Amino acid sequence: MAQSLTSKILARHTLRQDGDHLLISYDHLLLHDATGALLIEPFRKLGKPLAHPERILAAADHFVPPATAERAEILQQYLDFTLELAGIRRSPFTGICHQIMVEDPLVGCGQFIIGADSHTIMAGALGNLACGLGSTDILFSMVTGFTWLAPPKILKLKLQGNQTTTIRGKDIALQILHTLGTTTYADYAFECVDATTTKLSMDSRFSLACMGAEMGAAFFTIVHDEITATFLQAKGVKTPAILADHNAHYDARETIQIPSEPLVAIPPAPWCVEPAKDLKHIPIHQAFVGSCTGGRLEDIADTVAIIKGKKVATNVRLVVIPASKKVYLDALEAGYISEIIKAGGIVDAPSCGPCGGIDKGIIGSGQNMIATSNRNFPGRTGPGDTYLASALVTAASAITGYITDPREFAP
Amino acid sequence: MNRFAYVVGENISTDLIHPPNFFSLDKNIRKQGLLHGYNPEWAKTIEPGSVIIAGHNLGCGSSREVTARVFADRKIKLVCALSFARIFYRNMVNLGIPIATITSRIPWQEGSKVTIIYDEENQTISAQEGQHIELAPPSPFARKIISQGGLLNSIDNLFQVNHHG
Ligand code: SF4
Repeated sequence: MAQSLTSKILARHTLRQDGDHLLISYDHLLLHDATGALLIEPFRKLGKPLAHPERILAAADHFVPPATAERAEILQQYLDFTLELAGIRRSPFTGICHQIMVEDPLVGCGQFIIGADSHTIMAGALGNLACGLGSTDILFSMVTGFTWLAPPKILKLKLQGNQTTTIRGKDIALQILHTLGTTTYADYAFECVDATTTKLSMDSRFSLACMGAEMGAAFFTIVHDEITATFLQAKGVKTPAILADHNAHYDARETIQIPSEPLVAIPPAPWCVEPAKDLKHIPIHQAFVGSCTGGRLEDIADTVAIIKGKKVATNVRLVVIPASKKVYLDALEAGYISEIIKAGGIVDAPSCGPCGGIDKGIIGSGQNMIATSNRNFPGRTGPGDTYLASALVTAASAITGYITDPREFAP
Repeated sequence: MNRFAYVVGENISTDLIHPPNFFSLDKNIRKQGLLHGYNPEWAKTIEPGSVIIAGHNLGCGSSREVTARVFADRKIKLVCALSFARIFYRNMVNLGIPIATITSRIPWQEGSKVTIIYDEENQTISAQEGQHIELAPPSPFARKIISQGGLLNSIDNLFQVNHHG
């Protein structure tokens, strides 16, 4: 029978069926400080060995560097714990866990990836099935070598249209959220085909797949094509691509047109979407370029393209946090970081920053933030209001002090 | 036996269920966060044995497991919703916290606290005025895990661990 990419990856990783559920083995398992710390006590209590230590990648990114004494203690406990786990791949302080996952040369395509964080789904951009799980799920998988899953329904999602110079993966994610909401295809495996004329960059695809979490997707897999191949080749991955069969069965199909103008998600949820140009009345106190959704080189380059030679608006904080050490070094080399600093921006070390509402850069009540991150639920990034947009919109807003369509800055 | 049900609306995110500033390794701090983002008064007063009733997509957002664990910490009898967000649902199952899907209309306004009777056997919740909701239990696999007291308790009983998979 003709199979979807999702079914093929699932079949390759299924160990056995248990009633209405599958037991699935994984190629990689991701840990980070905030949720990893919750595992320490139960792991010791369980007293079982790791099934596949070499498949575990342990980042430290949420409390880096820690903003409070308690977080410093949590971080240290976690770091000490990961040192005890012989044979795992430790990578603390090298960036946001999801970004270092996709940068890792062992992470290719056609793999099954789980992680103790909802945005683990981002690794689907490389043609993998990747999903986030809670701490107990992860602990279970660490010692058993598999996870449990009801076979998901599969949505084939086709992206169509012409990407203009001010449209990025973030705008497309917001367009999908606006069109499909978050419950229509809740729990579906999204299998996304980029049929746009210009093709999305890999950085834009990561940002899009990341927001699969907000779409309620179980997985957000972007079918392998020449963009994926170039990215994988550059990091030395040789695994051959797996593709869906022609005429494969899907439970549902949707086609999304690339939006024609930059979009913004307004509070209280990522699926409340408006064109950026209609939000000029919203003053901002902080603009944040960072997170696993919007802290890559494309985002930083976009920021610089807008702010170069200008100054951040009075009383506005522009906070830029590269998503990884590699992104940071590339941005330094390209001269981006000095442009941001000259324009009055604040640059912090690779980490989650204010995105999860638990570290440096969070906003106070009565404050508005425009951010390249992924969630704006009330309380997510501090007590203020958060608006989600691409780096282009975010940087343009940092310069004017209110939400701004970057086309106003077009040369 | 009468108990209280607390009714919340649609798309109640993990940040409303348990705001990030209650994230702590200290159970006593964690406990205070229950539904604090939705109603800080409720966070103080929700009684052990209470039932939570929610609309669609309960628990959307973060994978932070404290957002599920807090229901066990506060001894909530049952969390039921028209639908659950995926990771939150798994976290509840994995921790062995009783959940159910609501299969009927919810007759009570969101934000209200209702005195109810929870009939476990017939899977219904009813109030004195005759209003009631019907429930469906989770999948057989999930039920098996919940009945073992959660995923970790199930390892030896339910799963053969294969270290070569
Ligand atoms: S950047 Fe934000 S969404 Fe991404 S892992 Fe960190 S806290 Fe989570």
